[in-house]
Amino acid sequence: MARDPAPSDSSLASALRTFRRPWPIMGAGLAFTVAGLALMQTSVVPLRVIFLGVGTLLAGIAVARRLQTASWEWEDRLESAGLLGVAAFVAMFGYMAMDESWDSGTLFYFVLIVVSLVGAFLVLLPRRGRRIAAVVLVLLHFGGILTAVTSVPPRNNPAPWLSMQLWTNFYRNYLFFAYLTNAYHFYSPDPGPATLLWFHVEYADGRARWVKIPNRHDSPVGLHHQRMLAAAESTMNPGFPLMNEQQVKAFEEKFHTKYELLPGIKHDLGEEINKRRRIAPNLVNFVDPNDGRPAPLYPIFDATGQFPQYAEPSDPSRRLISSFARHIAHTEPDPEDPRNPVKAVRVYRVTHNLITPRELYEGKNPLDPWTFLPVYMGKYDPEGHLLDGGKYDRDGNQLEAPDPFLFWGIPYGIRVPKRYPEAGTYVPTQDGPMLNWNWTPEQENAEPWKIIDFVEIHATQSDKFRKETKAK
Amino acid sequence: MKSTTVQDTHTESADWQEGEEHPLKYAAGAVDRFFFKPSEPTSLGLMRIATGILILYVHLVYCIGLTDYLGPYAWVNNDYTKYIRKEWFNQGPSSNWKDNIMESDGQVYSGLPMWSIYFHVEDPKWIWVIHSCILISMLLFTLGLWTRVTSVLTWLGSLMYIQRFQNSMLFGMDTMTNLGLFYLMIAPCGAALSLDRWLKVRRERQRLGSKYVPQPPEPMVSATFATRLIQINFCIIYGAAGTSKLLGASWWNGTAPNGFLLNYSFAPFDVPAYVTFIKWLVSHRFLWEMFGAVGVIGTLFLELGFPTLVWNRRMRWFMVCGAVLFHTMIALLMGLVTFSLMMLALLLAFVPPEAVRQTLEAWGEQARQILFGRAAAQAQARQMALSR
Repeated sequence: MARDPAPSDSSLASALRTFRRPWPIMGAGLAFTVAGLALMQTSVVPLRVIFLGVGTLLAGIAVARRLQTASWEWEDRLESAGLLGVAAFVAMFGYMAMDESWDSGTLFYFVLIVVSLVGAFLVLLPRRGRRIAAVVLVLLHFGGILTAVTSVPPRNNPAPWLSMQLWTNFYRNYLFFAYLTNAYHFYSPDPGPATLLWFHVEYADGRARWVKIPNRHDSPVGLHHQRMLAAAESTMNPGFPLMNEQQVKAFEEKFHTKYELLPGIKHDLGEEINKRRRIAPNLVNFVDPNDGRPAPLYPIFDATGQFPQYAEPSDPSRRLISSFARHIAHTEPDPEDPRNPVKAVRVYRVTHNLITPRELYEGKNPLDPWTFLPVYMGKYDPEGHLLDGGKYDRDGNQLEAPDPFLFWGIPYGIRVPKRYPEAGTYVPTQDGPMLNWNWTPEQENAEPWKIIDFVEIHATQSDKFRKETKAK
Repeated sequence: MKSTTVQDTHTESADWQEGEEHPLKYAAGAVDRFFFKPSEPTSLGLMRIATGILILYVHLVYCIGLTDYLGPYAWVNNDYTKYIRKEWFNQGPSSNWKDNIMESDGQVYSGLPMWSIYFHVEDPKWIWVIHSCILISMLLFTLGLWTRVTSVLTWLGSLMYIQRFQNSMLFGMDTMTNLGLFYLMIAPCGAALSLDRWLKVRRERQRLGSKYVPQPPEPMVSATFATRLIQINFCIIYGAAGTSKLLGASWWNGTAPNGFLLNYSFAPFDVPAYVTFIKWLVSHRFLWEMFGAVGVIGTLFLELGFPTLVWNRRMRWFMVCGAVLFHTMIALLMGLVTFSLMMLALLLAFVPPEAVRQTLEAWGEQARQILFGRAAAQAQARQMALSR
């Protein structure tokens, strides 16, 4: 049944109609924003933010209503442009009401001013001009998308020079603001292995446990598992190649920054890092807990080039790892005694190599220990400060050496002859013995063999030897 | 054979000018029709619902341990985000031939232009307040209420999480939802299949009474414009994904599917049937290689062919169906369910709005007949105008 038309002459309906018109809404928006600006002198921050938010929202509603209801006649376009102009003022007041530290708000309101002014200009244009302007904007927009697509360097080659110029000098701000930076190179050039993070959480009473991400069984939904995969993958960006003294000096001068591992922790020179790793087995006397035999962690010899040697992450990745360690320290209480606080967290970044179809056919498992390739990422206190990155005095003299295995690959489940480390169980080289990553029992007439988990050994025995090394 | 002389050319040129349309004018007209010929907003309405449900789900999932993502002890703390925003330096390309980083004269930029309210709010109480407001806006967007405003709020709200997790916890799904919301914000996605539309019809019915006969949503210029943007971007995504794969050896020798099928973190190794199937497949080398080859060729054909073939009316359904199958496989074999669903939502841009409307009307009619019986359903159909 059809209804009667609603009575239109009541005062309430009339008031509502007035309020629904764009100009009163814009006026209210302006008033709220100005009130927010006035509150800048006070300490009532939440109220200021609410006033600014409501003001901006009302201005947006006014513009939306106007553009939905106005015609494209010249007078109407002029009025619409005027309304957009006032919206730009609202955005400007919002911009002025931002504190110095609220850079997100400043950026947001700046973009809003630009959008309002460009919108006003577009509205003023006649139909043909408006369409031409729209096509030009479309070309600019997709130019940006294509710049993002082409500015990814192909493997072992630089990115196109023109794309990089456009990216850095023209599109950078637009693409980052709207997060249109993806290059869409999904699983290209080749699908790679997954990255995992293993955290060795050490509690105050000496107990410890492992927390590993991503772990499908610990994720409440698949989306969480994907986020954890992405988080681990984000730590994979490689750092600068190791530098010598001269290069460090040039680097610091050019970029006006310190060559540091993390804020306040000096980054050693390349030769020191390599030397420290080479002599580490002489200083750190690891023991295989399964048979009590010495288990020196010699540098790894890998003819296939699969095993990660020194793999220092980029500066952002190092900071990200420190942030992850801090999170773990505060969210992974001792399951047996929640009052037992976390003392430190060791982090291992692990590449989980893919099993081949042949290996699967031969009965091997995708979770076989040698498919995991860990790299040690440091030991952190509950606030995410790196504990074993070395200590230095004000003049840069070393007080305590960093962990010699920091950022070096550590084998998880490497196969070695049972009589390791006797002669003939390692690869002798000019620089000293090396552990053969590719050794398999079949190659050595089925010699008795064992698996050593150097990650567990490193995580549980390093502190003891660090104390001894420090004493030496 | 006719000899071409200057005179001929001039004559031809003169004939040409006297013809109906100059080529440039024709091209301009084609561009105008391509971007601005009005079309129904029904596909966009359906895309809004699909994207809205997905984005609502994604942000509801954040509720499970919200402070793990955004609190003072979040996975990614704000010391890190501050460093990325303010300090992380990048060098632009050199203006000359000195490309070496130490010699290059490329401009050095500190920080990235990122923004999010969550860079500045760490109090869990306020985080929950903001998160709830964003969820409400997303719900209203999904329902299509005040869509012009809520579409903008939803995009901005979603972007606040994306910016907060940039360079740390994002994956392809975030890119696609952002794209979808970005274009739906421009589109009249609330003009069909929405509460806005229902309210509009209701108002008209109140105004005109029994004389009112609901009509399908009017064709709109902005619907075509936004649909074209989505279509072009979708083609760029496929084109970029396809061409970049041509640089990889595994896509040439057919071993690329090993990277998905045998990747423990992606493939459903926790499903016994999958493990049995994969073990059976590797025990028959020919079948394994065929499976891989079909996967590689299908992927490359689709990703490289889609950007061109989808514009051909006869091929469009084939390519769209291929893309549906492709993303279904990605969801099943790689666990990227939300990513695949978002790609399918974007794919709706290639489905003619009339087809969407007719299908929904047919489904609605069937549902009404099942629920209310034929006679009542016909009366109901006259009342309902949501999908029209």
